[in-house]
Amino acid sequence: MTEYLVRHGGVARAIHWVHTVATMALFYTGIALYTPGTNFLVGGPGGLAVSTVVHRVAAVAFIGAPILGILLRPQGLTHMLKALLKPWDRQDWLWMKKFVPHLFAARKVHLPPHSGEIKAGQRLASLGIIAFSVVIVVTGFLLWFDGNVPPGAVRWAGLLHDVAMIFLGALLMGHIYLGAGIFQPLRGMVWTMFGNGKISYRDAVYNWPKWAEDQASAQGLQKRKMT
Amino acid sequence: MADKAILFDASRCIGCKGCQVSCKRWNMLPASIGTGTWQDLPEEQRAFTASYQNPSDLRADTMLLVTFNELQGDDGSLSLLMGRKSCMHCTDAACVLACPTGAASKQPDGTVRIDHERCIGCRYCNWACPFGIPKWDEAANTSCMCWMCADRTAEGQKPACVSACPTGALDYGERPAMLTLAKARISKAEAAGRPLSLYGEKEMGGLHVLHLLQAKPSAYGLPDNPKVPDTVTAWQSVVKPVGAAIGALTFLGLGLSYLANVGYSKKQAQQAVLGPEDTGAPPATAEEEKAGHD
Ligand code: HEM
Ligand code: HEM
Ligand code: SF4
Ligand code: SF4
Repeated sequence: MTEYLVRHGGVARAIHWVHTVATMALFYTGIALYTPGTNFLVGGPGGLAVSTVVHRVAAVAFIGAPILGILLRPQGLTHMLKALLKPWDRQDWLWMKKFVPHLFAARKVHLPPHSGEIKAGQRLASLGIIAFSVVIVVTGFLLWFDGNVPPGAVRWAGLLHDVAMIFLGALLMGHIYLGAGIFQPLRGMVWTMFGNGKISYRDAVYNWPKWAEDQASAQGLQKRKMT
Repeated sequence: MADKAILFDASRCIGCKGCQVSCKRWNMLPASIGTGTWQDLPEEQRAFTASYQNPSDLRADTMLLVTFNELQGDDGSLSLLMGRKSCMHCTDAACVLACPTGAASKQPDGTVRIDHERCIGCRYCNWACPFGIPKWDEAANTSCMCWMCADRTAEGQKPACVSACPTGALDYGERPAMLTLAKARISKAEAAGRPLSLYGEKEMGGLHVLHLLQAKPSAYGLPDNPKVPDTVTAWQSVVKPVGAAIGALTFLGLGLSYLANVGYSKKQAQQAVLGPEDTGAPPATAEEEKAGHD
C-alpha cells in the first residue's frame, strides 16, 4: 500500500489556487496591452477597455489572496519564509551545480540529496517570484492611481512594471514546467498544490530526502516500509 | 506628401485668444467655464492667479491655449510674453512611441493624431509627452489633443486657429516653406534690433508647429531642450524587445529540456536514485547517494 505525506495545507493550497488564476489573467490582459501587435489577444483596442478592468480586478485578487492567507494563518508565512531563507550549505551548492545538467539530461545526471524542505533552486526562484511580485504590485498601484503621481515617477513605474513582469514571467515558466510535472521526473507533484496536498512517501524521498524522513516520523509513517 | 507645419510668431501675437476660441468652435468643444466641469477642477487650479491665461492649462475640452508669461528683465522691468500651448506634432513623437494601441499615430503630413476609436484612455501618452499635451477625458475615457484640424487641411483649408488669427502671428503651409519664412523673419528682426529665435527646427526630430520666440523657451513655459524621456525610450525600445527575447529563450530552453527527456518517466528517475520500488530499503543517505552515482 502506498503511504502519503501531507506536503501543503489547505490555506497554502487555496492561496496558490487563487494566485495561479489571478496571475494567468494578469499576464493575459497585461500582454494584450504590451504592444499594439498583441492587442488582438482581447479582440483589439475595444477589448482592451474591458481587459484593463479585468487586470485591476485580478490585481486585487493577486494582492488579496496572500493578505487573507496571512490573516488566517500567519504561521504559514513564517514557515514558508524560513524554509525559503534557509542558508545554503555544501549540499545545496552541489545540488545547484547538477541542476541545469539534470534538466537537459535527466537520464545521465541525477540530483544529489539535500537537507532542505524546499530544493535550493526552487528557494532561489520562489524568492525571486516573491520579490518581483512586490515590485509589480507597487508599480501597478502607481500606474493605477497616476493622477496623484508625478509623470516622471509614473514613467518609472511603467518601465519597472514591465521589467518585473518579464522576470516574473521567466521564473514562472520554469516554476510551471517543473511544478506541473511537464518535466517528467516531477510528474504528480502538482497535486501537492492543486489537489489534496499529499505526496507519496517515495516521491517525497526522491525530492526532499531529509524532509521526508523528518515528516515520516512527525506524521506517523513507518518510514522503512514505505519506499 | 510633403510635411505641413504651423508657424507661430510670438512677436506678432497680441493674446486675443481668437485661435483658442476658433479651435473650440471648429472642434465643437464646450467652454471650460459654465459647463459644470470648472467646479471639478482641483482647488489650486481654481485659485485667482491674476493672469489672463484661462483655463490654467490644457484640458480635454481645450486643445489650444494662449499662454500669458511674465518675464522680468535685468532692469526690473516686466514684459508679457504671449505663447501657444498645443500639440507640437513632433517627428519623434513620445506619445506615439508610448501608445500601446496605435491610437496615437503619425500621419502622412507629419502631424500626429489620436484616433478616439482606438484610444483606451490608458494615459501612457499623457505621461510620455515632454510638453504635457495630451489630456484625459475621464467621462469618454479617451485622451484629447490638437489634430491640426485634419478635416480642414484635407480640404485644402488652413487649421481653424490659423484662419482666425487677426495679426498674422500664425501661418500654415509646407514645412520647408515655413522654415524659410521663419528664417526671413529672424534676419529682419535682427536688423531691427529685436532678436527672435526659432524653436522646433531640430527639437524632437523636428516639430510641425514652429515657434519664433523673443526669449528663451523656458520663459514661455516650454522645455529648453525637449526630448523623449529616457524612461519612455528604455521602456518601449529596450525593455519590450529584450523582454520578448527573454520570454522566447526561456520557452525554448524549457522546450529543449522537455525534448531531451522525452520517454524518461518518474518511475525510471526514482529507480535510478532510490533503487527499485518496494524493496523495503531505507531512503539513501547522503553518503550512499554520492557513492551511488558519482
Ligand atoms: C503578475 C502580476 C502582473 C502582471 C504580469 C502584469 C502585467 C502588466 C503588463 C504587461 C502591463 C502592460 C504594460 C505595458 O503596456 O507596457 C500592465 C499594465 C498595468 N498593470 Fe499590471 N501586471 C501585474 C500586476 C498588476 C497589479 C498587482 C496591478 C495593480 C495594483 C497592476 C496594474 C496595472 C496598471 C494600472 C497597468 C496600466 C495599464 C492600464 O491602465 O491597465 N498590474 N500590467
Ligand atoms: C500552473 C501553474 C502553477 C503550478 C503547476 C504550480 C505548482 C507548484 C507546486 C507543485 C508547488 C509546491 C512545490 C513544493 O512543494 O516544493 C508550488 C509552490 C509555490 N508556488 Fe506555484 N505553481 C503554479 C503557479 C504559481 C504562480 C502563478 C505563483 C505566484 C505568482 C506561484 C508561486 C508559488 C509559491 C510562492 C510556492 C511556495 C514556495 C515554494 O514551495 O517554493 N505558483 N507551486
Ligand atoms: S507634443 Fe506631445 S502629444 Fe504632441 S506629438 Fe509631441 S509628444 Fe505627442
Ligand atoms: S490614452 Fe489613448 S492615445 Fe494615449 S497612449 Fe493610451 S491609447 Fe494611446
